[in-house]
Amino acid sequence: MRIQLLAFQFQLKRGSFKLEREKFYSNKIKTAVHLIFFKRGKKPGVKEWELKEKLGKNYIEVLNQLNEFLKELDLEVVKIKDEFSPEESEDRYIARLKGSLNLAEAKLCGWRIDNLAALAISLSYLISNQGKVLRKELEKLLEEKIGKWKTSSLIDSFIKTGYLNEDEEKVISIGWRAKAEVDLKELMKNIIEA
Amino acid sequence: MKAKKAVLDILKTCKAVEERRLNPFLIDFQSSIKILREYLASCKTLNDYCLDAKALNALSKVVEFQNAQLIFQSSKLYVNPEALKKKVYSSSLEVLAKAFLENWHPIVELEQLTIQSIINGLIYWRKISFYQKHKAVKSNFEYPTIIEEKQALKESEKLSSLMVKLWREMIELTSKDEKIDYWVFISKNDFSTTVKRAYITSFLITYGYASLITCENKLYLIPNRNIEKINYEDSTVSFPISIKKGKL
Repeated sequence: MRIQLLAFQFQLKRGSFKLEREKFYSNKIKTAVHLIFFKRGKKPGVKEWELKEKLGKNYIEVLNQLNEFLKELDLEVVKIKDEFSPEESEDRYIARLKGSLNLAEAKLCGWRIDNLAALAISLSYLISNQGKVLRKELEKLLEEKIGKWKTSSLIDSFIKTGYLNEDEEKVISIGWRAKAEVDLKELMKNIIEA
Repeated sequence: MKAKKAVLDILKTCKAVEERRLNPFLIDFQSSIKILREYLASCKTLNDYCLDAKALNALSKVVEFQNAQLIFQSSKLYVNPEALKKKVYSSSLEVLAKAFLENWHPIVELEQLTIQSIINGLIYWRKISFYQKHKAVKSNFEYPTIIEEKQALKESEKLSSLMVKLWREMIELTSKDEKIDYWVFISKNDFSTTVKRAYITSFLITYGYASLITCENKLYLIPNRNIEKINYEDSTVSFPISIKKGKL
């Protein structure tokens, strides 16, 4: 009888511990969502060291659990490298769409067909030139497809939004946003096969 | 002196490679090293030695570029730029956009209100006068119609041709004086044409094909004949056109 009672007490303790553990993780997941989804600085997402500070050393496990929840919503949390810092703690975690948008959905997000095509052309041309190309060359190529009037302003808007970078020598390279959002290998494959 | 000129030429060529204007494999390394060796033997001052070191460093960077190019060409990502250009020219915008969309996973981010953004909003709304004050002016309001993307592209082409026409007109009118009064340029006999000209002129200014300047409290337009780089203004300026006759 005493053994049965002890066993019952043990089961109770185990159950409450499990509940506490679940609660602990659900709180951590909420904190992770707050940190990742809400834009606080110029760039979206959260730096790795911030996550570590707020979620503790088990932050990877928290993110894995968060990804399990987000899978249902066609979203995912991914890590992107900081282009200016080699340190891993400066890498960012961002939330992005797991699947892809169709043309109608992209239009609803405010993207025009010619803007999307211009971005596809710019990125694929940059990749075929090892990631860097003179602005004039890119403008020449884009002018053929979307017209002279729009080309320069569109390149400027891609630079502003982080899809492209431009240095003092007027050399264009792939920006942090394009690296974070676009599967570049597959893009090249799709454009060649198109 | 001749050797120094040759070293400077090497530096110039290496810079062109660095700036992606030249193929790194076009540089003749053996002759370049030979020139540097000859120059090193004739070096006398510290500046000469520095120039030699700089050229050697630039050549080593070219080797690095060659290495990167070979690695890249052997990777899956490699596509000949000329072949890609041909593909781009032959594909429609819709096909290219769809190819991009299949591999695009946009970032999810939520904007939030901050105290500063609320203050900015309040300042903006306080500056705007009440709608009631303007209600006296009657207008025939019509809801905008939603147009198809293909139709929009056609409209955009139409706008482009109008822009070219107006730009040429501006160049012709400013052939003697270099600049033209903004209101003189946009004003025509009827109100709708004036608004249309002001609308198209705003595009010309935005895209950098004309500049808008103020001189002695007057607005002037200067066409940019040889346009290379578009200069954007930091802020946008609006000029209302009066509906009442004789107030243009």
